[in-house]
Amino acid sequence: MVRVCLSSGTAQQYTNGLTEIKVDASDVRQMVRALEAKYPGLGDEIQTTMSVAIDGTILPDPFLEEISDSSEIYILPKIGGG
Amino acid sequence: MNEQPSQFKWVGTRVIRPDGVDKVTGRAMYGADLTMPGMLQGKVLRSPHAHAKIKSIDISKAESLDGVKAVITAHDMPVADPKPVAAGEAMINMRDLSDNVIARHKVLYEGQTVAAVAAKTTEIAEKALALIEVDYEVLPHVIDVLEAMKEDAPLLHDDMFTGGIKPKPEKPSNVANRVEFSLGDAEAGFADADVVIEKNFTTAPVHQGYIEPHAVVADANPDGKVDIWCSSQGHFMVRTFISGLLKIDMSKIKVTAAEIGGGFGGKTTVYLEPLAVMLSGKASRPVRMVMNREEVFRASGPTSGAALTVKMGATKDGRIVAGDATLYFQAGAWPGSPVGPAAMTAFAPYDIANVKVVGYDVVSNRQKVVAYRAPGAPISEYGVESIVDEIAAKLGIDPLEFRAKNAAKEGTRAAYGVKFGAIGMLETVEAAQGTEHYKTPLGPNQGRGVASGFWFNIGGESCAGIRINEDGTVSLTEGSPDIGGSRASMALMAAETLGVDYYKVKPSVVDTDATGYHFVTGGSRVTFATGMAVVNAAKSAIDELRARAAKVWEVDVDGVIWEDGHAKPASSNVGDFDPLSLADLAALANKTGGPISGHADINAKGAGPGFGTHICDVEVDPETGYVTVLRYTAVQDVGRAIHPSYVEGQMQGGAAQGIGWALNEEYIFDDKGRMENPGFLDYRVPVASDLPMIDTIMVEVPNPTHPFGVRGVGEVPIIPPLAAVSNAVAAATGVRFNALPLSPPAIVAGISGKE
Repeated sequence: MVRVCLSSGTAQQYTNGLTEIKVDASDVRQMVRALEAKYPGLGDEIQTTMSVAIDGTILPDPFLEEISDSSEIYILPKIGGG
Repeated sequence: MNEQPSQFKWVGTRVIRPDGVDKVTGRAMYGADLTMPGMLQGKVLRSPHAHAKIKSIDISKAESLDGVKAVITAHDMPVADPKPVAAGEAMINMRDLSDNVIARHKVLYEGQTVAAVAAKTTEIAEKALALIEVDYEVLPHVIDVLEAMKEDAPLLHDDMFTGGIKPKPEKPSNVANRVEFSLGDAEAGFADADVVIEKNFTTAPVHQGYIEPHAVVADANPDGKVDIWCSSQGHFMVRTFISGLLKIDMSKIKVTAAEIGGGFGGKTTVYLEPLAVMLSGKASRPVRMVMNREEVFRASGPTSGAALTVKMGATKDGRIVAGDATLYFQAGAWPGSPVGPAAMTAFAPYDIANVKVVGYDVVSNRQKVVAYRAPGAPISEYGVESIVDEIAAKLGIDPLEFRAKNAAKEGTRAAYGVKFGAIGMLETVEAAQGTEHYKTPLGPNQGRGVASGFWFNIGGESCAGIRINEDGTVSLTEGSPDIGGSRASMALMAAETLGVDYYKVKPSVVDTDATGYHFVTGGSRVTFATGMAVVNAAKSAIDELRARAAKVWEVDVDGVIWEDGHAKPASSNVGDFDPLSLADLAALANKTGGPISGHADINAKGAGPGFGTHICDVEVDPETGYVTVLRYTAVQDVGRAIHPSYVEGQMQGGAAQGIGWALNEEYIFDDKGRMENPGFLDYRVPVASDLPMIDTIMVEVPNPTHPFGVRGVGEVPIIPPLAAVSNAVAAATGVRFNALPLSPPAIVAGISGKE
């Protein structure tokens, strides 16, 4: 099971405050599907407005990246710049 | 940086920039320089009200004026889908973007576009604007962020309910969104602290202050094709927005990025471009539109004004154990302030176990916020760095020593959750501690301040093409508008990788038909991401050059290596062949398979986070409150400086803008919500004579993800100055000022209060 970490704000909105969620997934696509199934709306939110950080690397548009039980995964807002 | 012997031949050298001669001789073509046969001049009618309903618009008199070829209102523009699209700073809603380009039902700030005219001359266009009759119903307005959050504040959007909270509120409000990040247990952390300081801060809206105004020439052909030349940080972004707003196939839109006279995030959206395309389509003639300075201030986006509360706690031995911040950010007329990144960056320079940050994105009747260097971070880190300074003083610890003791390092978990990889925060503090500047004594009424800063930096989509010409020279194409000397950096990385002379590589930023999609020049991403694409393209060309040499020598390609610009046998077992240079292989290209090239289309990952630490000395005149910046040193982890002069330029420019933010710059609104200082005489940016030479120290902690170790450098240097200047003024006067800008009247009032 992969451990996915959410910000406290996102958790309040979608997971009744749970900031760590375990899902069965071997890539980001599966992870997003699993999160959407467990917490409707969260997967869509991740796909449209969020980035995913895997082991410290922030990815604005991840999809096929492989993840494992040892991966450290954080869901973050998309980051731009000026 | 110590200029030590380098492992590289070209990377790290101070070569002449490819666009230098064009710029110093006036040949460079900026947005307003293009002229086309039959070209018309476009002008914009703007709202005189901060908040009003548009009851009707009558354009008939303007249309009948001799010389007028087209007049448009929102009725000429398709209704946009309310779908989110990635912009420079955050996701934006296409319908909001459409309303910002031209108002449909309501105007939400003074300066918003209501109608536009194309005419034979600018004078005729301006006369026509005066003939357009708009009937407004003026509504109450609100500008200040805290005022806009009140229950009885004038409501900008009656269908906007605060996002980020559950359950969904029953009543609409001006609070568009709430964000929250936490790590550990802030309350428990404060309970462990020996010293706790909490303060409120405010910052004013400030403009990016680019010298070149927004400018565009558009030519919409009757067959549906559209050509656009414009001053922009992203011509692909312009194509995306024009396609979405005007419902035109992307393949029919060609956008060329003109040379650009500054952007700093402010040119990561569109204002004039869709208007020029619509006017050109209606008039069947090319149309040029250029903002004047007043329009730039009134109608393009400054950053947020903000209010924030910051609380931090530390133990007697100098460990920061807890941080808490609440941030209230103006978004302007539509949602999308940088409060999210502000919340994430606030405490990021430090290793703090217990942190909580809450942020509010609040709409009000002023221009829509647009990105400005490290969007949001200068504001939140200003509050944090001010408190850090006060805690250090209270504990009797040197402020740099205190920062070094608490600095984030490799493995530190940032408040937004992610663990840092290789970073150089501590190295920047140590370098600052070692400067002669930091040890120099100060005189009466003088003070020294320090502050650090963090920005993520980003990667994203970039492409590059390398073509080996018949004479062995190299043409390099990419699509990132060059704002800070990036063509030189691209050519340096190509020359280094290929092993050829830098001056044999000609880099070009090409139009949207000539290369693949590029994300904007923003987020300090170009040298990292487009540079990575260039290196990959050069490696792809090298693979082809090795294959051609293998054909010439009649050996397997694995038997050929590329070294110092030549194909060589991998070992004596391959055969005894003289090396073939790039020029040799170029001359043989037609005999060995045709033109030689390399390409790369990437979505770059692994941008290295950036940190900086600044030292500022000021002298404050106690009678007038005037602040003179005496000396300034900017230290930054730059990963690897590809072209040191342009990295130093970024550091100096960022510091200068940050000093302006701290001391002088602010939007001033009258009681009707109209900007009172829309010009450089009254909106005071620092000029060369206001500042000392800004000394730079480049610390190089290479980013392991990039072939040359590049980290973005453009945004970090605007973050520390706000607090560095403020801390210096506090040291000089003995008074803490918690509102920016530190204008002379505010300083006099503060000093009087002390006495």
